[in-house]
Amino acid sequence: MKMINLMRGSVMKIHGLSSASRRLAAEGGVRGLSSSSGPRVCIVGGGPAGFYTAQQLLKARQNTAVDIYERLPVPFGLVRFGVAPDHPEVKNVINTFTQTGQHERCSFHGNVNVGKDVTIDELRQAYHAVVLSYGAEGNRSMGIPGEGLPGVFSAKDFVGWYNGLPSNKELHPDLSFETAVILGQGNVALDVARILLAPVEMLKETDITQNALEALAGSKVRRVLIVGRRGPLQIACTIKELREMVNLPNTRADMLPADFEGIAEALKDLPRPRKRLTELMMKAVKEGGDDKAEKCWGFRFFRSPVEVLAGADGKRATGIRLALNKLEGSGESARAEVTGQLEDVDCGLIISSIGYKSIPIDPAVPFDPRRAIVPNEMGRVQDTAGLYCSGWVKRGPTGVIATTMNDSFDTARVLIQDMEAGKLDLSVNKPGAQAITALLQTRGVRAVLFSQWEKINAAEEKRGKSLGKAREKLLDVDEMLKIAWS
Amino acid sequence: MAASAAVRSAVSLTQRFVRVSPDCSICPLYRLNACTGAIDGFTAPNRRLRTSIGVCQSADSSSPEEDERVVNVVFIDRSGQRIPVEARVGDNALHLAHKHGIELEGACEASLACSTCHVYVSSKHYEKLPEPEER
Repeated sequence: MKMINLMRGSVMKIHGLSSASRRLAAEGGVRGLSSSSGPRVCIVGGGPAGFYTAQQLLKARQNTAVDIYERLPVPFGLVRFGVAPDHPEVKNVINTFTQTGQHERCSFHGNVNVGKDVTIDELRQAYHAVVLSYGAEGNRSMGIPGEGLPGVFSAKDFVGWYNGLPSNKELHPDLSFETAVILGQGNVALDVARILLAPVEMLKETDITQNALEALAGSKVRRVLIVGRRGPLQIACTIKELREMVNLPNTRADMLPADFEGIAEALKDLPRPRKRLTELMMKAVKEGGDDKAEKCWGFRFFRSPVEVLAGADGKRATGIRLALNKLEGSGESARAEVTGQLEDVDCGLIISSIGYKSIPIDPAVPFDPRRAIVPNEMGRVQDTAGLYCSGWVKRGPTGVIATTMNDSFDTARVLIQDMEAGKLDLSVNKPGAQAITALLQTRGVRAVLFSQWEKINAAEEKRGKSLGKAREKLLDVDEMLKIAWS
Repeated sequence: MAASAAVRSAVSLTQRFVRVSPDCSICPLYRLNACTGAIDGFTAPNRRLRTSIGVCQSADSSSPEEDERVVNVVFIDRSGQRIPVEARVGDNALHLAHKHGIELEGACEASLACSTCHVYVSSKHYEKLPEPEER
C-alpha cells in the first residue's frame, strides 16, 4: 500500500506528462492496477448511509474495493448539513467516516452528479454491485394556498441555510417578525425552534455559518410556536431535544393546558420512553418558566395548516390559518379528524417541517412515487439484480444516525450474502473507478478525492479559527473546487 | 448493539438511556434466544443512573483517585462468543469494549449524543440501580 502511494507520488512528479493523464493515473488508474482481482462496489451518495455501508463492505472481505460517489465536493451529507451546529458531539461520527474515506480500498469521488454526469447503467457496467444511498433531498409540501409566499420556508432549506448548504446560501430569511410558526413537531422542528431562540453566545463558537449567525444576532423573533396535527402523546421529537428547549436560557414555555386534558391519567400505561417524554412536557406546562424571560416557545396541538395568509398587499405571509382537529383512536396510530373550527395566528415566519422526500435519480431505477422510496426487499432493489439501497432512500426519511447505521449494516450484509451465494457474478472483472473517471473526463467532469476534501476541510477550520469558531464553511461550490484542486 | 446487556457491572452503570425504543431485531440476546425480557425493567420508575459524562472525560481508570475495585465483565458478541475482561468501577462500558477489540458502534464517541450505543439492563439488576436524573 506504501508502494501505491509512492507510485502515485512519483507519477504526479513526472514532467512531460500532460496534467490530464497525470491526473488519470493518480485518480483512477494506479489503484485499479493494485486490486484488480476483487469485487468492486459503487455507492451513490456520500452521507451516513453511504459511509456506513462502505465501512461494513470493506470490513467483511479483504479484497472488496468500494467507491463512493457524491454530488457535492464535500462528503458526509446530513451530518454536515443537517445536524444542528450546537450538537457537535453528534458530528463525531465524521471521525469514523474519515477512517473509511482514507481506507486503502475505498475511494471517494466528490463533485460527481450521478444521474446527470454518469448514469446508473454506466455504473452497473463498471461495478459488480451498485448501492443507492442518496437520501432525501426534496421536501414534503403542505399543499395549501399561500405556501409559496415570501416568509414561508421548508425546514430543510432553513436548516440548509444555517448549516451552509450551497444551494441555500441565498435564502435570506426575514427575521424581523415577532412570531414564527413551525409546522411539525419532530426533531428537525425543535432544532429550528432552538436555533431561532438560542442566545447568540451559544452559537457563536459553533460551525453555524457567519451570515446565519449575523442574521440571528439581529433577529426580532421572540416567540416560536411548534404546531402538530395530533396530541402530546403522538409528538415525534425525542426527549433530548425537548429537554434542550426547556433549558433554553431567557425563554419560557407557553403551552395551552387545554391541549393536555387527560394526559396525566394516561401516563401510567405508557411505555417508558414515551412516558418520560410526556412527563417532561407536563413539567414544562406546569412550571412555565421565568416570567421575566424575553422569549417564549410552545407546542400547539390538534392543529393542521389550511392556508397561509397574506397581508393587505398580498406580497408576503403575515399569518397562518389552522384547522382544529380531534383525535380518533389512541397511541401511535391515533388519527386527526377535522372539526370544522379554524384559528388564525399572526406570524411573519412560517417553517414547514413535515418531512423530507426522496426523488428519483435515474429513469433506469424503479421508484415508488407514493412512498417516495426505491422499492426494495431488504435492500435489494426490486427486479434489478446487482442494485441495492440503504438509508433514507430505502426506508423513508425518518430516523437518527443510529437507525441509518443499522439499516446500512443490513444492506451491506445482504450484499455480502449475495456475493457469497453467487448471485453476483464476481468471476467477471470489472474496471470500477478507472473506467468511470475516464468517462467523466470525456464529459468535462473531474472528481474531488478524499485527500482533496481534506484540503477544503483544513481551509474551513483555518477560516473558523480566525473567527473563533469550530469552522467557517465554504458556501460556494466553485470556491470548494478551487481549493480542492489547488 | 445491546451486547452491553450482558455486562455485569457493579454499582455505577455508566451509560444513561438516551432514547430507548427496544428494537429486539438488532439485539444479540434476542437473536441468540438469550433474552430474559429486559424490557420488563423499563416499567420500573424512579431509578437513578449516574451519567458517564464525568467518567468519559477522565482517563479510563488510570487516575489514582478512581475506585480500584475490579469488576469482572463478560462481553458476549453476536456469534455467542464470550469475552471475559477485567474492568474497574467507573469504567465506561463502550471504551472498555473497544479496548478489548469488541465491536460496538459509538457514532458520537461516547458523548451521550446519538444512541448508537445503548444499554438494556435486566429487570433483576435494574432494581438495584439508583434513580435516573433528568439532566
